[in-house]
Amino acid sequence: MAAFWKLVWRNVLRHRRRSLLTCASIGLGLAAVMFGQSLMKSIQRQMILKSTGVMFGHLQIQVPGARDPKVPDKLLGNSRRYLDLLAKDARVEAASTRLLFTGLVYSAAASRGLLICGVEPEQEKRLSIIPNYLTQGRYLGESPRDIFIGDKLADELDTYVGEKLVVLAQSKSGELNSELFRVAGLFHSGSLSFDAQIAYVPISMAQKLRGAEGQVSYVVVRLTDVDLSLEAAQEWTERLKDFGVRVLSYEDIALEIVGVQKFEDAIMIVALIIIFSIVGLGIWNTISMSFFERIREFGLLRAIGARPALVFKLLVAESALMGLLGIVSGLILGGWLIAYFGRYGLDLTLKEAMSYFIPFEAVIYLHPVWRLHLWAVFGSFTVCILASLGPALRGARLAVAKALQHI
Amino acid sequence: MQPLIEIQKVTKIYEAAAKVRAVCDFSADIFPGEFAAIAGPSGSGKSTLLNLIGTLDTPTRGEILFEGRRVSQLTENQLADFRLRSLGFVFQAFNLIPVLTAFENVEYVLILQGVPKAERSAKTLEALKWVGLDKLADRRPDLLSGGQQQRVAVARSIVHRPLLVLADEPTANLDSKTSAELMDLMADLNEKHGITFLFSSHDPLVLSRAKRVIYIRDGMLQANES
Repeated sequence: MAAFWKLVWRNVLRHRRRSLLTCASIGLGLAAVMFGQSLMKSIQRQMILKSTGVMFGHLQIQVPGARDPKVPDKLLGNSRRYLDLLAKDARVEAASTRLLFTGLVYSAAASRGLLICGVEPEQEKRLSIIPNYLTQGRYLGESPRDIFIGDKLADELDTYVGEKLVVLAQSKSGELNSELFRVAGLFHSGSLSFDAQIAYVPISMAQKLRGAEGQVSYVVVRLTDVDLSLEAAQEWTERLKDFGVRVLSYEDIALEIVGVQKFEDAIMIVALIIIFSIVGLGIWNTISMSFFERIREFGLLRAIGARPALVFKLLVAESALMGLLGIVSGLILGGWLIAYFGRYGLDLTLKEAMSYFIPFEAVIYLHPVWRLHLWAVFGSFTVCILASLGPALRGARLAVAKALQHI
Repeated sequence: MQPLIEIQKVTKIYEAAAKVRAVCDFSADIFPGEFAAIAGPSGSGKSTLLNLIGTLDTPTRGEILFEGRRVSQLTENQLADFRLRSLGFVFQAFNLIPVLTAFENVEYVLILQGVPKAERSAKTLEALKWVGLDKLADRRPDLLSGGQQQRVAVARSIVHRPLLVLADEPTANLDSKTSAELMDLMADLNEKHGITFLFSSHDPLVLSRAKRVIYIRDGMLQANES
């Protein structure tokens, strides 16, 4: 076996520049795939963390049959019992209730249509990242008539911290209700949807406006890890099956985010196929050239008693060795790129495109996604092996006498 | 004495654009310990006949028997094993593996046979000593002269003590002096160690050293002279 690998190694070194270029192309291909995977997943991760952080949470308990799970039109009663049950689950970091509905807000200068979000202020601080975007004043909690709005909405309403606003909304029975609020604080998330179109008020006042005492749109849950959401949703669905509610993970609610993820994953697969095809063609070319240059040598090996399988194994092993060398260099380069951009970040100006829908950081910090990177390594190695099979099979099937006459 | 090789009415036809009859109805016997040559002009079928005897090619018709055993029914792997155990080859173009040293080229046959390392090294060194190249064992083929490369090829052909060494025009790429030295070496191996040699050649030097010459023309046996 040692003699076999010695021969393989020396054959790879026979044309050093060619082998180096082949290894480099495998390495660069793998590094590009790893970088792409990391970038896509880092963007997706931020999308998930931001969207769950600002609105959806990781889980929601709702009344089934809502037309839009983001703003359920059917209200949930007796939410306390769900919160009590959730409090016993070690995976639950925080849970609270929200009441969402549309309304109008008036200032002395202007009025705007918007989404009213009734929250439990103390719990909401542990659930949502919106309080973190505070720029002026304070968050909700000191007075039941506090209102927390985005700076863009404040501009449009020409209002400031401490000034009064009136919110008008239709109650469940169809009557118009209005309540007076005082601007407690302003936030700037960078997302137009949040900064100009949502107002946060204490849930008790929201229920009063909506005429829905003791009722909420949903119970929202933050888990210790977002990746637990699917598993937890399934488990809680089973536990609450007799309660007449449904438990949704953020993936069931944020369908646009899931759609974007799927689209990006599809693009990544296409890119992967293109990169692996180029790598495959490179290694096929190298092994084919090596095969044609050494036909006489293979004839000799067969003449002195090597079985056809040895010639086959020799060519496949040479390809595998170049693949391994390329993969090691690709892992080093790809790992370095991810570590570098993980530390210093990468500004892709995605913020402008994404931030209409959700707050989005301008700089993306890459993270390794080892599960996907391992697939890329496996894919690179498989491509190297597959690309060598053609020349290797030809080598194994050589007519010995003819091969020995090859010039 | 039972022949080592019995060539029985062997015909080889190549089917390219037109049918080419390279060997036609050829019969001959080779005995153990012989130092024989197949002679004939270019294109007479010498190399084809040697390839058929060496199981590197298969006859269209006829049979070749080794120690009374037919080889035409053997599979590719069985043929490879047969060549590995029973035959040695020396080619006109030396045909050494360029990435291996002289020692490793000779040793490779024993590696294929699965001979243990210590025994392998001893046999390889012995074979290189026989051809007078033990001092150059670490050199790669590109650092050896043509004559030295052909000596390595001879060492490789005998290292596993085969029944028969087939040498296809072994002196064709060598000058007269080196050719004579090579023939002396092979004659010496034949006499001292009883190795059977069968050459194909039209080189008068080779033919003059052979103890028997089988003449072939247009693929047919012309004469068989001792």
